[in-house]
Amino acid sequence: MNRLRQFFRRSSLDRELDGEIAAHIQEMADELMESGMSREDGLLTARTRFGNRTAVFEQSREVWSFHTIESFFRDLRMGARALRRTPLFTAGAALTLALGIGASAAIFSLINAVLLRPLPFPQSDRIVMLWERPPERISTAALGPSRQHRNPTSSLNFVDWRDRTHSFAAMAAISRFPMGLSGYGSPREVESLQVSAAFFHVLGVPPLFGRIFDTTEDVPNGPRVVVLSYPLWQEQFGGERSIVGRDVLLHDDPYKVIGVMPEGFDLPADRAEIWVPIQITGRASASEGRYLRVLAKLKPGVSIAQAETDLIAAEHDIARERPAFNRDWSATVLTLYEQTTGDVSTALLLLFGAVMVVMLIASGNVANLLLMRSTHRRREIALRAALGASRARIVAQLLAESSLLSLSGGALGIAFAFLGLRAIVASLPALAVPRSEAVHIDARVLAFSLALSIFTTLLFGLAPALSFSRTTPGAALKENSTRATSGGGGRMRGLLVVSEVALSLILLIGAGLLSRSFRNEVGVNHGLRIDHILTLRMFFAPARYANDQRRARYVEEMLARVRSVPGVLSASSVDILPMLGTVSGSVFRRSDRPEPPEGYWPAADYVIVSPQYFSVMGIPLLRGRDFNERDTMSLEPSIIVNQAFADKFFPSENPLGKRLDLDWAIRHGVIVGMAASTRQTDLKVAPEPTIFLSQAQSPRYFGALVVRTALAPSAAARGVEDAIRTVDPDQAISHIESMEQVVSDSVARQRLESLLLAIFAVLALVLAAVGLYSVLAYSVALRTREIGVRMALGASPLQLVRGVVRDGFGLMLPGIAAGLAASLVLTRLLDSLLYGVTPFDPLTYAAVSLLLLFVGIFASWLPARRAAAVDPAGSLRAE
Amino acid sequence: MSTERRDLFPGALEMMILQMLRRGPLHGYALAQQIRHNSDDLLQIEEGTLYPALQRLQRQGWVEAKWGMSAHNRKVRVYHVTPAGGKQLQREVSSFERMLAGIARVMRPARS
Repeated sequence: MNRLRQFFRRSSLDRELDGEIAAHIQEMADELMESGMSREDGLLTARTRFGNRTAVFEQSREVWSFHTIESFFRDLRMGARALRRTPLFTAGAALTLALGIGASAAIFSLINAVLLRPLPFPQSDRIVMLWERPPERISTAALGPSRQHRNPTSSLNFVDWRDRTHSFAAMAAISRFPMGLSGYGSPREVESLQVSAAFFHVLGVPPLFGRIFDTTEDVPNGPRVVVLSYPLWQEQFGGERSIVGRDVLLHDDPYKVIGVMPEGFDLPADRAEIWVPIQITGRASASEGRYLRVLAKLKPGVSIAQAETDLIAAEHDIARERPAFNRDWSATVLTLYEQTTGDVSTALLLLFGAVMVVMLIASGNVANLLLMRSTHRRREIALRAALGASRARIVAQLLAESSLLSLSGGALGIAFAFLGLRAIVASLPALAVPRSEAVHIDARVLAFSLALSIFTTLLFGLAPALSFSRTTPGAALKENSTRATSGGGGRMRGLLVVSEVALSLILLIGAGLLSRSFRNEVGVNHGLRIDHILTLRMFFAPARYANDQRRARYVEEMLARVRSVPGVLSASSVDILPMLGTVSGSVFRRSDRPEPPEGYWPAADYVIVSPQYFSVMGIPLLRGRDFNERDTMSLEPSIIVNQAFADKFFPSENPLGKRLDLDWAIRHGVIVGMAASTRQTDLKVAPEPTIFLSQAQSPRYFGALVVRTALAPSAAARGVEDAIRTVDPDQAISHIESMEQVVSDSVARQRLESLLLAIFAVLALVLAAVGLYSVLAYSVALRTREIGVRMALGASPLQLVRGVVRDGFGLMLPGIAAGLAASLVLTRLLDSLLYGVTPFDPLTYAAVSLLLLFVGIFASWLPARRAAAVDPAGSLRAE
Repeated sequence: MSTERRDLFPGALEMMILQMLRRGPLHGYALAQQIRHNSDDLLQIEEGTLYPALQRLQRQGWVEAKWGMSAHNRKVRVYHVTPAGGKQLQREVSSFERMLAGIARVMRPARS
């Protein structure tokens, strides 16, 4: 307190001290005069006896030690003045840093939201997901593109898991089950999850008000109750608390609203607007179809590994008891966090690495600029050193200047990050990156940017500052600036540029590989004709069309109306659209062969379609016929297989007329056609053996209409919707989009990743080129005199240009060599993200190196031209 | 009197100032005269060095200053010891005496 007060009384303290010292000397002089000295002698002796008055004054005031703070502010002021004097340098350096810091802050914001933020549930590290692992011999696209072997489980297995394991405090089954909400406003489809009562206990979140359902309601044929999400409650029910206790219509059935969950309550990978009881309790209500995802909470003190051992033991018991469905199946336990972030963390960390490289290059450039500037300031600094400034003071002053630079660069960078993030988030379809909806610049991002600014200050500011402060004042003062050749730090500048070239090459190669991979993926022959197709996803309300016959007829009626809409060429339905990342799968056997042992039936993808599906999607029918109106429930079910299926199970046989036993809602059928193979789950997964069944004979309760249009699909959307509503005005429709959009969305994340990496790589390339340019330009400027002499001695302009370009090569070639060597090691990290290209793709390596070389030659040519334009007479006279 | 300058050990000047001031308040110049006089001119200190030491003592709260008048009727700052300063002096004197005794013991065999 006292010292703080003293700080503000500073100037009056200084006056007092000064007066006191003057009085001391006067007193002494008075006394000396009294003893007989003359006035002058007395004063002189008094001053001598007192010692260095200024030093005493400074030492006395330093006792109060505001010294460091004061000199810090003075350094900042001086730094600001020095930066204002060279606006071009300042703007260039700050902009360079802003690009680096902006890119880093943007990517860090993504990482912060997606990876660093804990899941919004208490003890979320103990929340896990349980999956089955299919045996290796089962190959079906249903396993997903990355073959993660995470398979949903059956309700029967879920019941056994719950009853036979001991590691879990609670275990809940989840099934997505879109429902049509009507009775309030226009009918709409709501994202809904059927869940066990334990679901809310696993997540540990109480309702905002009302209540959640309990185990007495989560029983077969239990009461129809529903819990609402906060957003749905706000949008559809106007935030009315009185909604609790009232009935809403879900698929025409009245459900009683019992509670509303708080805002933000959602499973990142399983968004929902309503939750209803799944009503599976015991074996009686369970079956063998694998469609359930299982969420559980570990008991305290139980590790993931212990839980997995426990679960696998239960699974083995199940396989022994029910081998037909479970032979060789195993199980796995994943934390909810891993489940949520697993796919994107590699890509995000890769991008983060990329922006850090950009940041390093940016810092390198700024360090370079500072080093060059330093040559001009050597005399100024030497003068300060000669006047008694300590080395620490000089370093501190230079660092203050660097901090000003990097902090203003950081502030500008945050603005860039803000704009960049908006663009990134806007370009992502909602579910492509989990939790990306929460991406924003928060305190943590700001702290990160500040830390990065400080770190870069040290990185690019310290080296020049130290090299500076070693300058011996005498030599620097004597040095004639026009005659300086390469100056101090020339070698360091060269090293910086070599590293920049190497780093930018690594990024360019990474970006090149990723963009080649992306082009491979997009350009893959998926076997579909996706232009001019309108898709509409919907759920065929089961209450009104509970009966299979009526549901089949309902879909047929809709299609008939849609086909008569002007501009519609053909229309059909499919249960799960291609490229949505998922497909149904099951097992079958050839009826004409002996039955394989239990559990050894082969597997295939199952796709349920209506007539004209193959023509709408542009899939050639290679043999036999399409489904038609004669394929009704009263006749033997028809089957169409794809080429991959025929090749695998009927090699060198005609599959037409052969019969299959199915493990599906229908138990058998006869093959009537064979279609060309197409990709189903996504662009990366090669076609799998597929069984097509007809919607009329094996109706599903959800699906998508696919409509081939004469003009743009969007132009027909209105008419198609109206046609559907004439059949059932309450039919809710979700996702009305073109098939091209569906395919494009399926690679949205890869597109963004490769685009971002390309942007960062180009940024790195430009920065490295600027670095190379400035080093060469600077050395030309310093050597003007030398160049003049050489020209006077007869060197041709061409020779001079060659000399400068050769210097450029001298910096580029070691950089390229180092970059290539590092890439060979580092690109292996990309392997899991690449499709159809190896991490060592020679074409990419060569093309990128050439690109870098050309840009480098251009960057060297500019200063070379200036060297050639030197006027020999003028340069020699200038002194 | 030797012409060779010896530095005082750290804190010695402060200890002597406290000792002088304990006898009565003094202003800066008078304090310098007292130290010179009491050491029989053996300690040749630059009088200016008193002032950083006085600032340090003030900062510690061992010495306080008031405005007063000098013998030559000049406005000067007069320093006096605070109670805390008195205690500090006692601590320093006893540790100083221990140090002297220690040094004396080390030096003794060299004399014999």
